[in-house]
Amino acid sequence: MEHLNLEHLNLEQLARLVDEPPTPEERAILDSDPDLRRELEALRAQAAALKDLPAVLPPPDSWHDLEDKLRSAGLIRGEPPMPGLWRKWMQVAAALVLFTGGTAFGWVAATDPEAQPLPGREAGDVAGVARPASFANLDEARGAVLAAEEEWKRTYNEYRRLFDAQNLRQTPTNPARRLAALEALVATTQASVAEFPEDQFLNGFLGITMMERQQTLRQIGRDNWH
Amino acid sequence: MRALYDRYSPRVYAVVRRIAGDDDLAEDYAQEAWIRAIRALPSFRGDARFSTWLHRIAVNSALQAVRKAKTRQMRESPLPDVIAVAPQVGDVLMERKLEEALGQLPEGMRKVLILHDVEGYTHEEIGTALGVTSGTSKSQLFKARAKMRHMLRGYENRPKEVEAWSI
Repeated sequence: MEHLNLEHLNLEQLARLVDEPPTPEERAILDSDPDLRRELEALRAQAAALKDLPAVLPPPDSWHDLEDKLRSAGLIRGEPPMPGLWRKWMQVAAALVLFTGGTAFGWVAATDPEAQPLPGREAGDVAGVARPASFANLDEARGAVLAAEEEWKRTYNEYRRLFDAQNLRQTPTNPARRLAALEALVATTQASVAEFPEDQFLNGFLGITMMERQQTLRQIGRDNWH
Repeated sequence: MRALYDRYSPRVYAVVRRIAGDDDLAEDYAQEAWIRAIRALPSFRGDARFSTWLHRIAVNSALQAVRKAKTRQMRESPLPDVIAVAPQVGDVLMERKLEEALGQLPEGMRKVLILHDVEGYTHEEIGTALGVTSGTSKSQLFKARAKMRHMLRGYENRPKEVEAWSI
């Protein structure tokens, strides 16, 4: 930016002013030069953009590589999951997702006597994943998100328990319940972020839940064709 | 363990990848960070949030690995595509340019800029992590910001349609 008057204030000095106040001399220079002020604003925008850089998904098979290393190091025990059985589970879920659509989530949850309602929702209201929640304050929103996460973890753990027991045929609706809980978690988090868009916790959580949903649905779709 | 990994791996991978400046190295460094964290889990006392604790381990692990590797050859290669975690907001092209520019910074500047401007470390924390004074950290930060500004200056005035065609 050759046309800038950086004679008394170079770019590195401006970079310092991104998060430090200017000295009176620097202030005077800035006041007299609109180009320098614009340059400082650009540096501030750059710092803000860096702060907002998103997280990055690791390579798809990274968990399996890590799992092997952890097992070799004796940090986790037990046999690795069997892909064939896993695929069967996911195919059941895929069939529900792909052919009966999103309403299957609600139907399954609504007809499942064990389904636990989320705070602020009635039993069977997992079907209402598209129904926006309303929160009196930030604490309530966070509480609802954490409660939805608990519900999702509960169904996820149940899913894993059943999977580990190789009890594939007795509860074919379980994958859909897990997905329904995940959808409910996404919806609750989205509603929370809509009401409290500045909250970092809720925003971070939304990113995680969206990623989880994306990964789950991607895996279901992929496994359904194998 | 898998649930923990699924939940926190994008943030761990992001910081490790930016410090490493390379996808292949990042994968190794991220796995090393996870192994360290899992080994250290019994010592996690809950003084900090788990994510913060894990993040520190990832940063320290990556910094140590980079110091050991002492190679910058692989960073010369074009930056591979990265998959940003949803929600997709803001200027994706700008994010890509930022990542590219970060990858072109000299190693010392890049580490300081990532730790300060991306990860929110203080200069004292950076000094401890990198074994430098906080004054050095500041100096490197201002140089890095200036260099980034030089690299990105042309981009902000470029018509976005032209940029989109160049993908």
